[in-house]
Amino acid sequence: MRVPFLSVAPLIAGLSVAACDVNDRVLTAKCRAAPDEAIYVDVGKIQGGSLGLGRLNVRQLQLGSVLEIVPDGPRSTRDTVVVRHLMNAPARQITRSQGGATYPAFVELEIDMDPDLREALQQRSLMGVDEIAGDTRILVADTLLVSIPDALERMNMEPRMVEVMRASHGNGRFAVISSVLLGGDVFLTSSLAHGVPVATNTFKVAGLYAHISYVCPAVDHLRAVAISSAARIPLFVFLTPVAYDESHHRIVEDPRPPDDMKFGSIASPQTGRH
Amino acid sequence: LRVSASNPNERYSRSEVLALLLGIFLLAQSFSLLVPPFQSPDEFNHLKRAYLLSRGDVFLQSRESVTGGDVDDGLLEYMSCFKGLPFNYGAKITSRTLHACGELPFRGDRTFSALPNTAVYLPIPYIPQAIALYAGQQAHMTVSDAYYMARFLSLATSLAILACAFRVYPVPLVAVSLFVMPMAVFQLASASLDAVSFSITLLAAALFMRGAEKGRPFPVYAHLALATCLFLLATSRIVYVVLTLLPLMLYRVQRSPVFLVSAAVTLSLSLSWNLYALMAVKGATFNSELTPIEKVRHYLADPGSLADAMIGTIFNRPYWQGMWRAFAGLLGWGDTPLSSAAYGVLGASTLALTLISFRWTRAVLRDKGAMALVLGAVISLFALFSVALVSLNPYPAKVIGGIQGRYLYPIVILLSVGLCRNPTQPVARRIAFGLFALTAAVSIVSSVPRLLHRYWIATF
Repeated sequence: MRVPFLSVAPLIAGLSVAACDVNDRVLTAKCRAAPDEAIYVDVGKIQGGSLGLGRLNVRQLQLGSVLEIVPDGPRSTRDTVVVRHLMNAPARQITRSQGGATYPAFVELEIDMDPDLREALQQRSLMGVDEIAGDTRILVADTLLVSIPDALERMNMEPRMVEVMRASHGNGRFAVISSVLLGGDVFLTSSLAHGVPVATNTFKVAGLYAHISYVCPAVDHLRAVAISSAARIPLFVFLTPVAYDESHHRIVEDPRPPDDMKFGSIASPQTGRH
Repeated sequence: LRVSASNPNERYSRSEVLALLLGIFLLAQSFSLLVPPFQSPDEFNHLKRAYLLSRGDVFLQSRESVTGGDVDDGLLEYMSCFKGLPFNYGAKITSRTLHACGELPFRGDRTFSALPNTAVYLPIPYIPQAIALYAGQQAHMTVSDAYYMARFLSLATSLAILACAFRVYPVPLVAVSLFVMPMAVFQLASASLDAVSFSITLLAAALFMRGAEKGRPFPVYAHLALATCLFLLATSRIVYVVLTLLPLMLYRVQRSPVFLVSAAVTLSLSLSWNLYALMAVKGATFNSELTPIEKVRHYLADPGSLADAMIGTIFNRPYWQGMWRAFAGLLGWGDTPLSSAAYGVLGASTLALTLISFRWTRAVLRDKGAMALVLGAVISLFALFSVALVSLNPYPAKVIGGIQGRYLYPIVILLSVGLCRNPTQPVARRIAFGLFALTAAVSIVSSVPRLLHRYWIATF
């Protein structure tokens, strides 16, 4: 009788233990609805310098577009006008990394979770909203970072461009999309740096598996466009603020930071402002 | 080729082989019913590669700095139905998705689609999936039906290869038990490359051990099969190139120069393909500003940084805990863990089975075939971590990241075939089968609820 028992005992004991399942909780991290572009990516230092933060390119802007951002448009709303596209400005790949890549993301989140998970997190001082937001990263598939290295020079070579900026008399702020992060797919994901990770976007607390689920319509929309496109699309845009220098009669880099340049409704040069 | 072993008690009876294969089949088919399409990592690109093979495209083209090919719009549309699932636990399959996507046909129009990470593989192991997709198109099946046929043919091919391995060598039960671990079953149920490559590894190990037995003839067809397996392994993962040298050991045993020729030819062909892939494929991941070659130079110039990365990896307990979870079963796109208890039981049963099967005697050290297999596995392991260090990690790395648990399966299969034997004592043998059954049962008991919750049941 010993032999069958030896064969069956570990089976029964092991199955009994393994059958103890865990409880799942979904921690929903919702991106704040507006503005759509308030999801930023940091690609780090590139060739010794910084590109600043890249903005989620919900508006499908293109590399080389020159934007005029008017704080108070005709409808008392912020307008963004694509005044021109740089002509004959060759783009150049400025990083050598390729394939899939993750970058730190900056995004405002609203966290929704079950009370028992919230209580468990509070008891352990784990993973508050700030930590979850701070751990959020952007995962880009088939990534490629391209840039127009001499965008300012190119702008000054186009008389119509200089004229448009000169005529604005400082009413709006201008920026050129000098770099774009291209990709074939985009996700928000968590590095789980503040939790006890057990899987991608999953950490363990008090015997629960907490799964972070990002709900970001702007990212989802861009994903859908990227997935259905044959080629990579610009997922994030990097702005170089520019201004017209009256004393030198040329376009120069605007020393004011681009951080407060919030996009409004977009109008193209063909259709004019809204 | 007759099955051989120094001790006949190590062999399996025909009914035991059938039971093992049937068990693996049922497990994998159960998973296949529960797992929506494309939920194995990179399965989208694996199936694109199979589709392109079905069109006769072996050497792929590059557009806009990324390698890919023209893929049927219906297939791409079907894929897009399931792209929202990975990394998003809140996303579930709905009846609307199943209805809308299940009836999609192959369109006939094709669009360029990138697949740089699978373009580096020689596509021969994708033949089962390619046959399914080709037949699906010819028979005007829906994409969904063709996809599930691809899964089935991949699994059937893998089991046929396993059956061949049983035929030539009494593969240790501990090696077979790897095929019923949740991670392996999940991959066997998918349409990705892993199912066939795991099986090919086991067959290569079995053929090699059989060929390394002194005084036993090793027919030409077995030799050819071994060389083919090693070539397929080395062209699907560059870290296994060293295994193409295994026939050199057979030369010492069999004393036939043809083994020297086969080693040279297999090595040359493998290196040629890998060199071609490195030069031709664009867009494969290296997530750093330094190229892998530049990182090698940096590490060689500063051995301290290399030591930091190695020490930071070897003595990193959470890293190895995570690696074990990923090896045993981190399902989906690495987003579906099992319970801690399941990992514990799987670890205990695998450890116990290894201890029972391990060749504790010094005879193993004198078994040149076994030692060659172990050496090949150890070098492959070192190569795996080295390649990951310079291709998937920034310089200098503190820990060698980017290695998924499933990458270790071929290496562990080789080690287990080299270092373990089936127990010959009836009691030990029965316990070994009991532990195997436990592993298989735990796979089902622990994985099914996880997969149901992950893909089908909304959490709240």
